[in-house]
Amino acid sequence: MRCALVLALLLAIFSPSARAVEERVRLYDLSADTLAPGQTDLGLFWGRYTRGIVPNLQLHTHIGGDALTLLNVFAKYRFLDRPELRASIEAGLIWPAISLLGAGNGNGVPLLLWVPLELRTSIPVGDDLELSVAWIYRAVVTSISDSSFGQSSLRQEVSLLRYDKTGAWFFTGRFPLLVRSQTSLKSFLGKSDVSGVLTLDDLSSWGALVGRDFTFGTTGHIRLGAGYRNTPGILFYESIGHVLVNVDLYWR
Amino acid sequence: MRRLALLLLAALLLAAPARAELPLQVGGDLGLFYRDEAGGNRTVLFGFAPRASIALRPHLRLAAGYLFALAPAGDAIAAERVQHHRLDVRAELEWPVRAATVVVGAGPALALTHATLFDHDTAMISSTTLRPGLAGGLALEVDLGKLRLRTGVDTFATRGRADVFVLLGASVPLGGAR
Repeated sequence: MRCALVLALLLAIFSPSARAVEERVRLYDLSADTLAPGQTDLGLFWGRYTRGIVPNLQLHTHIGGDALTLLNVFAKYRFLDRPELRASIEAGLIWPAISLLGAGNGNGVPLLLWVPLELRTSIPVGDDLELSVAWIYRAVVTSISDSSFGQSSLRQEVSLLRYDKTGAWFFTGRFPLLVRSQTSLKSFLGKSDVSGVLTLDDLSSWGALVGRDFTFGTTGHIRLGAGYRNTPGILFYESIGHVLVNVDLYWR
Repeated sequence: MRRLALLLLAALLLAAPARAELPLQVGGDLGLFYRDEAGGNRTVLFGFAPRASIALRPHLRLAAGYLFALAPAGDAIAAERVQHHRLDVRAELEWPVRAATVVVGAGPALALTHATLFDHDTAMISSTTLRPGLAGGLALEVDLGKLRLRTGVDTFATRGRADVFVLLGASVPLGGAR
C-alpha cells in the first residue's frame, strides 16, 4: 500500500504535460546541457562559478576551494545534440596546491590529486519531462615519499526531471558500481616492496533523492531535496547517516 | 489501487505508438558483471554480451544473449582463471516513451563456470559447473538512426546465487526495411 502511494505521488509529480521547457528553469548539473556562451551561474555553497565559453562548452570552478588552496577546474562539453539524445562529457582536476610544499623534498607532505570524469546523457520523454543517465568516475591519488595510495570509484546516476513554469522537480537514483583501491609501499619495514589492488562492489550503497528547484526573481534558484542512502556515507560529504540532503542557492 | 495501477499500465502500453520494427537486431553489451560469491559478496568483473532479438509482434520480441566474463586471480606461481559463460533466451516487452523505449524481459538461462588452477603456467586442476536459472533485465533504448543504444541491468537468479550485469550496449538491424 505504501509503495503504491509513493508510486502514485511520483506519477502525479512527473506526469508529462504539453508545455515546452524554458531555459530559465533548466537543471544544467542534472542534464547534458551546457550554458550558452557568456551565460554565468554563481552558487552560494563553495562559491561555484560556471561560465559558458563557446557553444556546447562550459567551465566551472569552486571559488571557495580556490581560496583555500584547493585548486579546481571542471570543463563540460556537449558532443551530441539530437532531438532524441543529448550527451556531454565533463572532466575536472582538483589539486591541493599546498602539497607543492612537500613535493620532492621527502618531508612527508602528501601529493594529492582528484580526477572526476562524468559522461551524462539526456533523453526527452515528454515535452517537459526528461530522463538523464550518467556514469561518474572519480579517482583520488595520494603519494607520500616513495609510497602511493589510489582509490577510484564508478557510479551510475539516473534522474527524472520534470520542468514547469516556476522550476523543476527531480528524482535521482544513485547506484555506486565499484570501488577500487590500490596501494604501493616501497621497502615496507625495510624489506621488499608491497603492492596490491582490491576491487569491491558498492551496490549496497545505493540511494534515492527527490527534490525541487524553485526559481525566484529573474535569476535566483533555491534547490531543496532529501532522500535515503542504504548505507551511511562520509558525514556531510556523502550523507548524514542514511539521509541524503541536497540544498543549494544559486543565481543564473 | 493495484487494479487501477494495472489498468493504467495496460492503457499506457496500448496507447504508446509502436516503433518501426526490423526483422533482426544484433549487437553487443559491455559492462560490469557482479558474480555472486558465497557469503553475499560480489566479485566485479568486466563482461561482454553479444545478443540478437527479433520482433514477434508490436511491443513484443524474442531475444537471445550470451555473456562472457573472465576472472584472473593468483600470481605467477599459482594462478587461477575462472571463465563465466551464460546463455539465455527471453521474451521482451517494449514500452516506447517518445524517442526512448523501456524494455523488460525475462526467460530461462544456463550458466557455466569453468575454473582452472595453474602451476607456473601449467594447467593442473579444473572444474566445470553448470547451473540453470532465470534471467531478467530492464533496459532503456534510444534509436539514433539505425544505431540503437541501450543501457540497463540484467540479473541471473539460480539456487543460492544472483548475478548482476550493469550494461551499456549498441545494436544495428540486419536485413529488412524500416
